[in-house]
Amino acid sequence: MNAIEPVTLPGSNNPDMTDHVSAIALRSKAFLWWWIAVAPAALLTSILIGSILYLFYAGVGIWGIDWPVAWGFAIISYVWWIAIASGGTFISALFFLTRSEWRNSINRIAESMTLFGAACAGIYPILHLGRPWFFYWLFPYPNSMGLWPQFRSPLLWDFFAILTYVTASVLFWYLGLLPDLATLRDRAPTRTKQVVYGAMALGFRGTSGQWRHYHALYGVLAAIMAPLVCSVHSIVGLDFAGAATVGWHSTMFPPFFIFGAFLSGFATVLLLIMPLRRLLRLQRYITTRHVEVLGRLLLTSSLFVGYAYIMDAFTTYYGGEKAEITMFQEKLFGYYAGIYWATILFNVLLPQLLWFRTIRLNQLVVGLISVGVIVGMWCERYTIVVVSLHRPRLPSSYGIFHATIWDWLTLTGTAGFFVFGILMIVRLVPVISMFEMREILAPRRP
Amino acid sequence: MPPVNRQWRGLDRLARDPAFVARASAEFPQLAAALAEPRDRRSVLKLMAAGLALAGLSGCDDGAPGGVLIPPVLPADNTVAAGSRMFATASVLGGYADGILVRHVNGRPIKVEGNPLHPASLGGTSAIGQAEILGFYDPDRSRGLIRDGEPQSWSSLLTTLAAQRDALGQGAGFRILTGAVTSPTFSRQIAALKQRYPEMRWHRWDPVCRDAMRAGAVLAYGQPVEVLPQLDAVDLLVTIDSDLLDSAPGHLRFARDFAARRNPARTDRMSRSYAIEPTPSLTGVAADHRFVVSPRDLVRIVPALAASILRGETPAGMPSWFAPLAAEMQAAHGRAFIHAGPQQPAEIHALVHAMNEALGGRGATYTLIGPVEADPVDQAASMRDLMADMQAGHVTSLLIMDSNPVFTLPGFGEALKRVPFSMTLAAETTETGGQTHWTLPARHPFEDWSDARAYDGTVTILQPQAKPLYDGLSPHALLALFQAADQVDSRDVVRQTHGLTDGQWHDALATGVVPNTRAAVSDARLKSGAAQALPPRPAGGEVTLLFRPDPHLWDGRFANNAWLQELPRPLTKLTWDNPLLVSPAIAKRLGLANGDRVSVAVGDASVVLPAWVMPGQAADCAVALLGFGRTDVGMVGQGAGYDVYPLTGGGGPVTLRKGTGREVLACTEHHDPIFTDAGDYVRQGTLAAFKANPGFLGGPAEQPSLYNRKPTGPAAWGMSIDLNACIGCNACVVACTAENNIPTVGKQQVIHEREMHWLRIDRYHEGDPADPNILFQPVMCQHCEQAPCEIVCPVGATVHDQEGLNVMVYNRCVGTRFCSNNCPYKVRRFNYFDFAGEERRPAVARNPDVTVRARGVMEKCTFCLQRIAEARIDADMANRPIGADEVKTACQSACPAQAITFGNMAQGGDIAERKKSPLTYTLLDDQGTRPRVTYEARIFNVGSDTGT
Amino acid sequence: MTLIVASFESETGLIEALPRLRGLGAVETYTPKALQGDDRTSILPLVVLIAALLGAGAGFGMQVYANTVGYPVDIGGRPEFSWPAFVPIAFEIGILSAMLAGFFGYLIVNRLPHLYDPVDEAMLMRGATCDRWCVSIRTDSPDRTHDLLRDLAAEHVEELSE
Repeated sequence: MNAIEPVTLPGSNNPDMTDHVSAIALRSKAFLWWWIAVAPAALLTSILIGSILYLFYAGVGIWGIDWPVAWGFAIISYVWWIAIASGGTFISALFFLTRSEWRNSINRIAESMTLFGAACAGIYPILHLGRPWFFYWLFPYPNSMGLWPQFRSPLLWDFFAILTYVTASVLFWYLGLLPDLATLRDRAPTRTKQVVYGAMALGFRGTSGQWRHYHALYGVLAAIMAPLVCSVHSIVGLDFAGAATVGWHSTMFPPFFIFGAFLSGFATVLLLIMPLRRLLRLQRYITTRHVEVLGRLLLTSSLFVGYAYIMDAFTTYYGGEKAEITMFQEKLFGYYAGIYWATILFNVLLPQLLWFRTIRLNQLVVGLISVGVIVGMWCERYTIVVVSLHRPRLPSSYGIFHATIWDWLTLTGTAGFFVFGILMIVRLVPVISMFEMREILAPRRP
Repeated sequence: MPPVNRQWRGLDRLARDPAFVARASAEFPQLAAALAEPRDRRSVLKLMAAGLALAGLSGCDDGAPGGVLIPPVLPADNTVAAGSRMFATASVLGGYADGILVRHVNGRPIKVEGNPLHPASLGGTSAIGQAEILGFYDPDRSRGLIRDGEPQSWSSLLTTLAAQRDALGQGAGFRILTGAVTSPTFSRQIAALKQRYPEMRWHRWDPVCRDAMRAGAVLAYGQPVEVLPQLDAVDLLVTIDSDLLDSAPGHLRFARDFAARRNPARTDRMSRSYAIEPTPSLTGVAADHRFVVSPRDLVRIVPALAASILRGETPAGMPSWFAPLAAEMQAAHGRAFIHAGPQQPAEIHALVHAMNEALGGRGATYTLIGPVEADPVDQAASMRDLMADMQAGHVTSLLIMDSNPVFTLPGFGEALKRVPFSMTLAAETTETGGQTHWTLPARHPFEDWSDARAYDGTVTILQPQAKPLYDGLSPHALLALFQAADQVDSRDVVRQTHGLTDGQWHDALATGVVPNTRAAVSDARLKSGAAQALPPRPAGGEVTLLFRPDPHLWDGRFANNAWLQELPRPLTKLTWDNPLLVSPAIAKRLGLANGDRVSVAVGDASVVLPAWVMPGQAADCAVALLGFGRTDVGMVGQGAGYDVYPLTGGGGPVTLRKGTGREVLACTEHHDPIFTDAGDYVRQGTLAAFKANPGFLGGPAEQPSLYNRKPTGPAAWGMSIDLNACIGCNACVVACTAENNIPTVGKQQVIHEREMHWLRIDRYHEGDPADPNILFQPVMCQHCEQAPCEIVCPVGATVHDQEGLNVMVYNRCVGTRFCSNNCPYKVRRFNYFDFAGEERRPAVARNPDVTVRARGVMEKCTFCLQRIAEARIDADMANRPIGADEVKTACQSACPAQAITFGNMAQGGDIAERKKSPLTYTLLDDQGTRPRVTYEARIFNVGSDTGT
Repeated sequence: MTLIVASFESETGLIEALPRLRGLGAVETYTPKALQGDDRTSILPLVVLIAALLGAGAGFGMQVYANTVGYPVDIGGRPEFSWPAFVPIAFEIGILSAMLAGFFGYLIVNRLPHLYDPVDEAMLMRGATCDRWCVSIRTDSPDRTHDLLRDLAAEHVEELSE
């Protein structure tokens, strides 16, 4: 399989594709593998709900956070998820603007990934609060005391960024879904499905006006989503860079975080499309070409991230501030050194294998590298949050952090929720953006 | 109704109150039946409790203090500004009194302050004194009379005592056991008892006693005189394993006088102090030179020192610092003072007396006074006799007050079994109380009348601060009942002792001191033999085991006080535990790391406990801390630490073996114990350098900044902390805890690094672990003008006010904890759980002026905002600005050494003066936070002639 | 009035047919993807731009008002009008309003939701969202339309009487 396939295999045509893709969403019984996959995901989701309820009952003390490490898994996982989500937007928006054909067949999966990545990320900032039931105090709503939120706080910027990002992602996703929902409506075998999909399609019929405004708008929104996702992740970076805390106070963080978002985003998309194209027999439309392209992007972003790590070390020692150097030494050789080196290994060293074409085309290896990257990105955030906080400026306030069972349950719970969401998408809506495929497929059967 | 009866409005009394029984029985029909069958203990108590609630409902108590309490007639300068009322009394430890004022709000005592008019306090308090208020409200305090585990009625006690009075006869078998006593009333009552029972004996036992000092004085002067140093007159202070600033009677006063000569920016005659000690003490840490010397060398070195000072000899085989020190001491004739600690043998004390005389200090740097303690005895000997008699069965009745020998004296419990009638009077549940026939609940000192003398003999009348919370019996009343049948009010007994007119009595109560009761200066002459005294060589063996009282639990009597349990020990920063302190050398030899279990054996007694490496401890020394491991104690002290008293009984060589396993210890500092650059935080230098350039440690006036906004309010609050005065005694920490309703979190949460103290005292070791430089630094919220915490709070829960305070709005806090991350000083504390709600502490014990923080809320030092608000109200009503020194923070007023100064800089005053000091610097000034808290750098008066 | 729906085999077939069909009545096309050569512009980009600017301006204004007039507090000694700190939120609010304006603007300009239309009765429409190129004509002269469609070689023709 050394020859790289085209974006769609020869002989692919619109009718076949439409039949195949809409059949997946419209079939009356789910696949067996789907049930096998959804069971554990549902279990983890209920574990998530359980641990959230207990958290609200007992307080954030059930987590490992302490003094001085006042931020822990909640923030780590929040950044991790939002990065994964951003990756999806890059593919669906950024590469739409570059008119990359290969993007058409995977952007639905990418956007769905964004949707549920953002959802997982979105709950953490609320769980993280000492008094979560007051989270709405961050919103500038009119109140009898004339109180306003504190607009200089990066956390508040973050609140607005996430709010915007989640809303925008949903709208963008839904807008991109309209024509395909119309297709499903027109092919729905049962009355119920017809009504449901019909309602969701809002009456899209592909009239000239609908199409004209559609393309005009979609382009503009794509052009908005791309800078939005960059701004969101920059602001996430500012949550740290905006503080004077040791290890955080660096102007490099915003781009650094965006590189991270690229990396984990591409890795997750790879992990989704490689099994899905097999399970759903989409090899025709999602070909090894896609794997190969994403492999290159993975390599590129891994180089970006590597550069960031080097600059991180450079600025620390070049800056020569004692507290910073002490903390960095701790990062390299201290109690948490293993996590730092794992980060380097997974995010920078292993992806270098992708220089080789044969590796890029070996889906098993690519999958393993992607898993490594996702783990590595989590470790990176662990280093940023915990290792920085446990070595403050005054030695008298040095501390340590140990995660508790509740930290882990919440984390795995969100992972389960993410998979659960993706599986629902796979079951209910076309996993490939059919109307965009029509741009690159033969209109009729030969 | 006679007063005693009035106090005995107890369950049994209610039971005899027909009106109550009627009312209660109406609610609980079983009650009458249960009363008829008094051995049905649990049901009676249950029903009574329910009934009591009813009785309470029927007549709610306004909580106003009983008896007559007179507020101070002479409000002194540093009396705390508060809309509350203050009543003078004293906190007594080991018999010696420190004057205190108890602050009352809405008629209930809520806070202890020092009594500025009391010679032993001058406004300062100790950590233990500060924590006494929590002990007063302790829900675990013993209540109800118990005989052999059965609840008893007041009348049955009276009948028993009546029988005793008849049975005692000449009192041959009658013994009373107490701790050291200075109370004139108590000794008067004892004397009266001796009249009635000529053959009775009065024994004294404190596990932490000062026998050796008394014996030394007798050796030197033929009588148990006591030494009264005037440290502010001392140029050269030499302390030998001394507790002068730690716990010696009058240590608060000593700290004050010592500090007065320690800051070269304020005194041109900075004193120099040398500490010679086997294990670090606050006194040693405060010294300019600290020489680590094992006890076995001390018995060689001190006589040599005496020889060279008294007879001009130059002994050989002495450490390098010896000769210069001796020379310097001789040079400082009339300006030097030497002090040895209670752990040193009598002979060393005799030699010290001789040297002090020879150096011409008497009358200049110290005076001698007659004994303050009533009828001082050699406690060890007195206990030996008592135990022997108990074993022999000569003791028929034993009355134990304010002493817990079953716990603190190995073997006492056994002997006690042979005593036919024994009775304990104790405010808390004690091991001893559990083993005597009768256990009587004593009144807390805050509930009772009594008196006590200070280190200089000054008498203070202890007056009750509130009606007894639980039924309690006054020791004076109990003694009176052994004397005769009629019940007396402790107030009358005390009043009789002093024979003061009404006016004098009122003044004595108001000021907290009885005038002209200072002990007379003794003219005892030094005996010739003193100079030749030769201390016995301690037993050989490669390990020397020293016993020290825990600095906060003392001999164990405060084991149920959560504030003291959770108070980080000054030198180890440990809470809730008492590991064996081993020297770095021993740790190296046995391969011990902090927490490793080690088994200590003295003769046949042995204990297994964790070890803790103590930098600056003599190579052969291991230190066991007394006071932990209480078995019969309230819920707080239950299972905290290890009981090392068994070791005190064992004779023979000491052996240390590394045990198996490791304990997790609750330490509040997690950094590498040894530091090379603590000076970055605790700036320090030598006196010589200071003289060359006074400003050599001060930081730059102000970092440049893009922002120029400054608080514009009429007042400008600021604080200055003098690191030369701070001795790290922790009084400020407890004061802060008490004033601000700071919750304790318990051992597990401390291990989890969630302690809540707003004010912490950082401790750094610098240099060689064997002999490090130890530094203290109190750190609380620095109230930065450019506060990093404020910018990152998304809801504006922490903001700046016009007077320069960084204020925390608890109600607005949602708990993002970003402020804590962004605080360079890490002074913010977070309520990870509902710590305040989980505290075993009645709501009435809390300071009503301070919000009790909820779960999920950030909190921190407020500069005692409630006190500022009080002063602001007063000032507004008088239409004047707030005075410079009108507000005293809790930490400031508690500090015995006046290390902390706080005030309104806009009005000048002390604070403005201290801020001008050339030593002033800000912590982490490179952060450009412009704190309102500044520090005065530590100066060491180290001479070129003496090398450390 | 009769509604006639016809489908063409190819996009080009439909495009060529349209000019001639327009003479017969109201014509609307239903196509699986956008028809080529339709170069009319859309107002939505302008709407989105304006919404973005208004939103950002309002967001910035809100912060300035809150910090200078509404609720001025000393925060870390920073000036009340510390505008750089207000930029991110202004930007985000701008984006948010742009997205909302774009989405709902689209619904409005297309009169959506529009769940039922008579043309749905035509079976041909089922393929319009897959591979059929459909056109509907509301005309008074069905016969001429049928003839014309036959000339234009329409794939299928379906007549719905109203």
